Amino acid sequence: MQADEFDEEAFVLALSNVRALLIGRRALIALGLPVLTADYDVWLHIDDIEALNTKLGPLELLPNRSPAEARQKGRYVLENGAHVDVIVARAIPTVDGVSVAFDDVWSRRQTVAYTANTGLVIPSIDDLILTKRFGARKRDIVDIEYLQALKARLA
Amino acid sequence: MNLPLRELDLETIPVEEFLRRCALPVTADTVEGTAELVAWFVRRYPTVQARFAYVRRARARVLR
Repeated sequence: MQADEFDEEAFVLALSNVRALLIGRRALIALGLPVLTADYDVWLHIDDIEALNTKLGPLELLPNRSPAEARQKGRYVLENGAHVDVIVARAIPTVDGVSVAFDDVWSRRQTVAYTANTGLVIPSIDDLILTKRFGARKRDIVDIEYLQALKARLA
Repeated sequence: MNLPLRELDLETIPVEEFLRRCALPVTADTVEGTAELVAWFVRRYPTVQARFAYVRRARARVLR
């Protein structure tokens, strides 16, 4: 399958049927920020790995690890045409030691309209900023500034 | 994504430097500029699906 054949709408629909948050730059784009990215980053509830993999089977998005291995490592990759990084850790620390728990982020989630009929679940702006502090990546500084500006504008 | 571009995307900096730069206040100009960008992007591509498609095309242009 080539990248341009990737059925993104079916992918988003599959995400909407499990406890999955789209994070990373795709979430910024969903909010209207024009940044570039190639991949999809998903934070998935650790108990929903099998359910998501089953729903994505028809799209030929295949996991690189078994659910047991993914639970042990805290992440796995789905790939075939598109590249999807899936985090399944219950909580992740920021670089300055703040523990960010999936359940807390999920409870504050927001839904944006992918199409008129399909919703896409992403974290709140504050939680997106926290996820951008999981690693000290240079590009995340720009993203955090964008998110803070967006939050200030909406306030 | 080709490898050099992926590596650029994943480039990290020392944590202290990262935290220092994250702590810088957002200026009014940045807030205004971001609002203008978002307004343009959402007006031009009203759905998330359309915005994702635009980003795919833009990225393909960058990689060519």
